[in-house]
Amino acid sequence: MTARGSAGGRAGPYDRAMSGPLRTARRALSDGLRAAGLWYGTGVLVLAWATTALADGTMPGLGLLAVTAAVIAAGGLVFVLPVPRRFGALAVLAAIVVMTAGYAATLVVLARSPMPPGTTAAFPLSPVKTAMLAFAVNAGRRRAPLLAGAAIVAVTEACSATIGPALGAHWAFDLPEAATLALIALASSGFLIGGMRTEQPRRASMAAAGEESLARTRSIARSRAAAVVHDTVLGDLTVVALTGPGRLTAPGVERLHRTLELLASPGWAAPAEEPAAMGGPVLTAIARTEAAGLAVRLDGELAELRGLAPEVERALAAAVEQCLVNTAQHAGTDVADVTVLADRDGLTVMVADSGAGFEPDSVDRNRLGISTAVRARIEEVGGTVRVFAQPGIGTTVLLSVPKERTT
Amino acid sequence: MSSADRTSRVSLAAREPLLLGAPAPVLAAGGAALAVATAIVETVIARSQIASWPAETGAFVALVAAGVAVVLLASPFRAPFRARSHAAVLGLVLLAAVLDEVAQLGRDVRLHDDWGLAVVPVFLLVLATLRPPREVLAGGVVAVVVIAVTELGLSPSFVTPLPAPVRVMIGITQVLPPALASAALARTTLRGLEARRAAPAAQPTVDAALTVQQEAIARLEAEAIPLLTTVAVAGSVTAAQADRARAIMAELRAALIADLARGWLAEAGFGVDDPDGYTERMTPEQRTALRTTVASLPLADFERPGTASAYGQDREATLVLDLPVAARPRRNRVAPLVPLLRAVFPRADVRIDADRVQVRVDYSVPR
Repeated sequence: MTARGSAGGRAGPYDRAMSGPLRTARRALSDGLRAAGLWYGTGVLVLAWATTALADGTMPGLGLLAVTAAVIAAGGLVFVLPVPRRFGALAVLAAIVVMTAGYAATLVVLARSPMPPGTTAAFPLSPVKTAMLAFAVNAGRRRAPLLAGAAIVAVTEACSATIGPALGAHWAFDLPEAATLALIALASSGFLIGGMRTEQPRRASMAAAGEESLARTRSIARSRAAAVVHDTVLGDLTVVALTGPGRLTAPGVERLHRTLELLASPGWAAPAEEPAAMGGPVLTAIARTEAAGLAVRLDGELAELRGLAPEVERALAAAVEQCLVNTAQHAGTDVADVTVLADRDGLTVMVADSGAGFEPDSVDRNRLGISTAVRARIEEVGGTVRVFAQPGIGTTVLLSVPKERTT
Repeated sequence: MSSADRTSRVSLAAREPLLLGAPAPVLAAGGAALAVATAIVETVIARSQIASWPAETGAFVALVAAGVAVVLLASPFRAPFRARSHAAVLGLVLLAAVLDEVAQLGRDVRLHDDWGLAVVPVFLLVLATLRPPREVLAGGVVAVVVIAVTELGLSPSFVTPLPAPVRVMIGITQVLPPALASAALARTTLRGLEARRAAPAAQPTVDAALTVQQEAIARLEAEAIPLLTTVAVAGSVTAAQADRARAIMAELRAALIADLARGWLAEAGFGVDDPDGYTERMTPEQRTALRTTVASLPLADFERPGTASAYGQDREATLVLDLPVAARPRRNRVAPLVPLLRAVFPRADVRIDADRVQVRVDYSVPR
């Protein structure tokens, strides 16, 4: 786990590379708080106005109240205007001025209504102040909403204390307003403190994501390299070992040259392209083993073989071929069954023979056929391999692959 | 699952446990304290409006219970915060709000400053980070209905002569906007995360693959390639070459087996006991969460983090990481890691001892 370098505080390459997700999360949260502030503020204004209208539907000032509410809402919208950063404080100031003007106008209209508020903390003045604070959530990041909220409370309460009594509304402590300001403080500090507490694991997480990606790449490359070495070098060495003293056959020599050329080429660990053929790579692979003397009985939904992603198709073809080679070499039979079963998500190819079978637990771990040429290839494309075998009964290998490649 | 489904079914804490889940305990503790403080202040200010002190006491007890419940249940060590926890906390808060209204029966002069109504928004905000948007909204709607029904039922006893619908509307004005705001916070943030899903950062994958290939070539160039080249050029095999081929085959097989058997935990320096290969069948997200956990601890030896033991039956597996540490890590350092692990494992526990940390995760592997 080499992530400690990054976790310890020094910015490593993964920190820089993975700063995107962190920024994404912060921006998404910023959007979420903005939406919450707008919904809260607008909802309170609309409901407060509707309640006032319901309380006295004949009030002549209802239209004026709608205008003052609109002014406050307009002031709230100033917070979300896309202004350059250097004008940010100016925009906040403008929003506070516009909203305070709207609040003062609301106070005047209500004071002259048939149901004047007894205090500056009465309904609907208190909800109006709450709405202004809700809009202030959009004043910026970190402490900005709290500062803007405190400024709004100071200005509106000064306004209330100055013109309220003159209009017959005595100044009173507004608990809901104070609670809302405390809520803004809690929200801004909560996200700030929470973010600070997890700073180290977040850095570790970024490094871990990069490390995981590299490890996965190395693992795939190693599997591919092992599969190629198994299919080429080990096969050639087997030929050399079995031939013993004497001349090699012409195809044997040709095979050796092909292997050496392959190993000298760049990127040989990448899977080789199969030639396009009628029936696809899987049926082509089966045809090759039949040409070598194995009788293969095909059954099931063969047409489904055509719907696979190219890399899945290639991996499946190589794995099926290796299973059939194993049958031909080790099962003591020249007949095998290949059955294709499809479901919604994937495809299962069953390669079965009624040959010698084996005891799975007693298989020599040095047998690479299943682990590299079959399992590694199938798992590389998101599939699974299951082997069922019993001495004297036979062997069945189930190769399951997804219809779409999983990463 | 579509993007809309995802944003409806996952909470902020589950989606981004280290960033958006981290504030939950702070918000819970702060919110509970704020709610209790609001209740105390308002009770003192408006004590003349209290008609039934037993009911007011009951309301206060319910509020404190809600505060304690949300603090305990939002603890990272108890993650994830479940739907039943949501119901319990919201139920207690609404019970407190209803009892507070009942306690002022016949003496309530101003409805909108009752603390019962003032504390509901606080809890709605706290719960917004812990549960999916749809459930947050449903909880808000339930709160609105409960408050509306309560105000409707108690309206005849209100001191100020207000029509029942007005009283209901005043109550709703206190609860509906924060309910909508909480749901909007959760939904918009999640949608933002989905829409801005960062493209995976470019990794030096080509270099990694090339390195592996170079390692393989170096191994083959030592003996196999020279032997095969000699045989190919000569077109014949000597007895010594055949023997040598057998020996190289055995060495090569052993090396390939060892390469393939070395899993990701072994590569990370762990001593691994995983006879059935369960750890190799973890998802990338699960492996990343474990790597993050390990990298976040003050390990005694970063090169050899500890031991890993995986066992299981069929598709169900358990992995135990035993990690010696240089010093006992503080609980708040380990706390964020628990929700991170529980976001990707059905069950995860972290045990902290003086000299070691044990991480235990349960998971299912694909068939």
